[in-house]
Amino acid sequence: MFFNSIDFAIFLPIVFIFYWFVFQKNLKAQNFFILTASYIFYGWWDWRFLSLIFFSSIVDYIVGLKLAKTDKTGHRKFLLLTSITVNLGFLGFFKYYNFFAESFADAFTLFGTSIEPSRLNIILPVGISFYTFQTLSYSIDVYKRKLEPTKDIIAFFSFVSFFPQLVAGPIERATHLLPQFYVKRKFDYDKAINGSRQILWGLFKKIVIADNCAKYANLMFNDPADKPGSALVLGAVFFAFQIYGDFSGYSDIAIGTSRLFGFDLMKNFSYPYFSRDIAEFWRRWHISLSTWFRDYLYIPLGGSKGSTSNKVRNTFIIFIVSGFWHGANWTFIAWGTLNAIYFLPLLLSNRNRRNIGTVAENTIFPSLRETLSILSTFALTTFAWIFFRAESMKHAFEYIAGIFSISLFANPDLPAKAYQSIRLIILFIIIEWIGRKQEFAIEELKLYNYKVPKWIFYYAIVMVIYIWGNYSETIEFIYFQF
Amino acid sequence: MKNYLTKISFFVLPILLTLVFLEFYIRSKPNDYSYKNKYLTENAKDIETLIIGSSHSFYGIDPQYFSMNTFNAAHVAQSLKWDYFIFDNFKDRMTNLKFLIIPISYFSLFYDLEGGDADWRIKDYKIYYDADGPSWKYNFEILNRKIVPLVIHAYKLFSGEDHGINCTDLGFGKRTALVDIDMDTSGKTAAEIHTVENFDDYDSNIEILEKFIIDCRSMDVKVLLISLPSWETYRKHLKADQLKKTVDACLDLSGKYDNVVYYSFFNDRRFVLEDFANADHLNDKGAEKISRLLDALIVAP
Repeated sequence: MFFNSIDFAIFLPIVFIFYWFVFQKNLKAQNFFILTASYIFYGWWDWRFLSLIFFSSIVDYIVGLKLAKTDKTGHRKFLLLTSITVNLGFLGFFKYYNFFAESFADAFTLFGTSIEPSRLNIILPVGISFYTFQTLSYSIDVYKRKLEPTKDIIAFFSFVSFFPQLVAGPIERATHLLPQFYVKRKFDYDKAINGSRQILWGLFKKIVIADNCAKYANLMFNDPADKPGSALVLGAVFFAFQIYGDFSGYSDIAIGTSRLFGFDLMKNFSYPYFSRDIAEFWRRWHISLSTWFRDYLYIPLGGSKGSTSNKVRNTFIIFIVSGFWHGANWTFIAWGTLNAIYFLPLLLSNRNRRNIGTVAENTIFPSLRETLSILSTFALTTFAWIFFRAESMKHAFEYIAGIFSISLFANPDLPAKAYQSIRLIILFIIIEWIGRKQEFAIEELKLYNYKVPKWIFYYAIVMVIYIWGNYSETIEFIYFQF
Repeated sequence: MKNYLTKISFFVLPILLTLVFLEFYIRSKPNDYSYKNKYLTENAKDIETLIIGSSHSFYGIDPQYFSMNTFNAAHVAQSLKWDYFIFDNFKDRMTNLKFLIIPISYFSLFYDLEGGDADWRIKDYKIYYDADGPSWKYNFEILNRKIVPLVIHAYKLFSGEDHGINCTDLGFGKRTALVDIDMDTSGKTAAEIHTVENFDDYDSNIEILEKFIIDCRSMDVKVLLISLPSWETYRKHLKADQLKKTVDACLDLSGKYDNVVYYSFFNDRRFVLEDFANADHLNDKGAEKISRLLDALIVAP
């Protein structure tokens, strides 16, 4: 079930009404209802994959209980290893098997031998990378004694499958989300209004920005050889806004929906395209994944401590693994490597934490220096997105070669409607800039003090979604494939 | 909670009421689907030749040039599955039926309306033919059109610019004014759209064709499988294996069943540029030409 579908528009109010009016008095029943709704939500795609979530949940639930009963280091390590093996085993099998089989076969061609890889004709279960990491965080935190294992199986299963963030995050930590299932939720009017606004803004980002940009990004990436370099540059920019609108839009809808049910999810995006360097970008982009890798991979490896070679090694590991998490393709590894190369000079020169606060915090416009920093960071990020979007390394290099040609200065010759998308992007950037100090851009606006303008504003967003939304096809959220 | 629900209701209610109004208004107006269903319900027993198919036959075969009582039950983007649905729905009432014309286009054997770009049209069968459909969402007009086209459609119906029914009394598609068509672009684009990546739907479509044929045999009805004319800019962009599989299937069926004949006009030189609306559709002149040819084949086979 997609957030931007009619199915969800019917599902959500039904779940909301039952949740608050039928099950509110009994916490266990309310959690069980969330679990049921979440399984329906997930099963809407393919009910067969429910067994994977169920199995992953039961393994980690048992591992948690067993960890509580033993202090023997060997036994505890074995239990943690069981959890990691099962979870990463599923992920590896469904997501990476074909990649490794093909890469293995390709390696043979280097020695002049060719073998036919045995491929599996399997579908990637939606959101597997997200819930696998979420449930893994539970086992690791229990192992590290940062979290008491839960005996409440319904709460635990609900935590793993909580429908607003099940298929594309934010990847929640057990320490943050699981305790929220233990306490009775009270309806909070302000929280619900705030959540509704965030849902509306998320829909705008997805349907208006991401889906419109997708049309022109696809146009450029599908056939780069036919396009002038200038159009390919714009294609990469369209993709940059497509992926941002798509993924941060999903996160906004997820966080907003959770608020309607009295839950708080972690922030996942914080205006990443206003970042002044790559380090800041990575503190603002897909925060739940970046911090997951930081806490469970980078820091255990030694982080930024130790020798220079260790820093370099750890940086490359975390970025390459992060790239590989996104997909089983060399393009994602290249994307991760490129970001590591961008990031390393900042880390090695201790300049990676220069830009912490909000850009132009006390002024309306950024300074010239800030503007140049923002633009150069955006250019670097967009260049890296080419690898992320490309279907193969060859495709990526063809695209880049197309950009760096004489036609870079030619008329991009875009379809007339593409300019409408550019205007929408500009409008989007302006709204994001105005709201950059808030959790999401339209969280608090001065016009909310006035009833009529407030309602006009809401209706205007709805109208923009209706009028400029791309409904010619249901475009999946990009991150569902991860 | 009460305050929240009140505010949300005030916000959502005008939108919902508008949509409900549009749904009822559009449904209340006749269209090609409701007209053809009504016609077939009232006149099934008089029909001697039935034409089915997609836009190629909707705009390409005009029943008025047939000697026998003929009706065109084709609809734009109609797949064989929905062709059969219409036929199956009325076959018991078509007691005088003698000929069934099934145009087999380059894409017909590899295409299913469900899951394709035009799957929103399934609602027309559910709403106006009372068909069973794959999802409840096809029970509503408003869930199957973009909001802007939906409002424009309702406005055109209201202003009389669109009469709702865009076919003749005998079901032939009336074209709106044609703009100048670039036959090269039109051919390339149509061929790309009609070329499939795999042949997954082939077996199920052959099964449907065989159901047609077996039903017709028991009704003593002759089946004409035909390939309608196309322009060279369309033909040259087609994939050879998909085209060959289509022709082979038609030849196999005509050889296997004695109530089936296959006529191909696909590459027929009698059809010149002036006969085409675009690279893969005939215009009214071309429709008259092919309709007279088909009639001659039926009258004096």
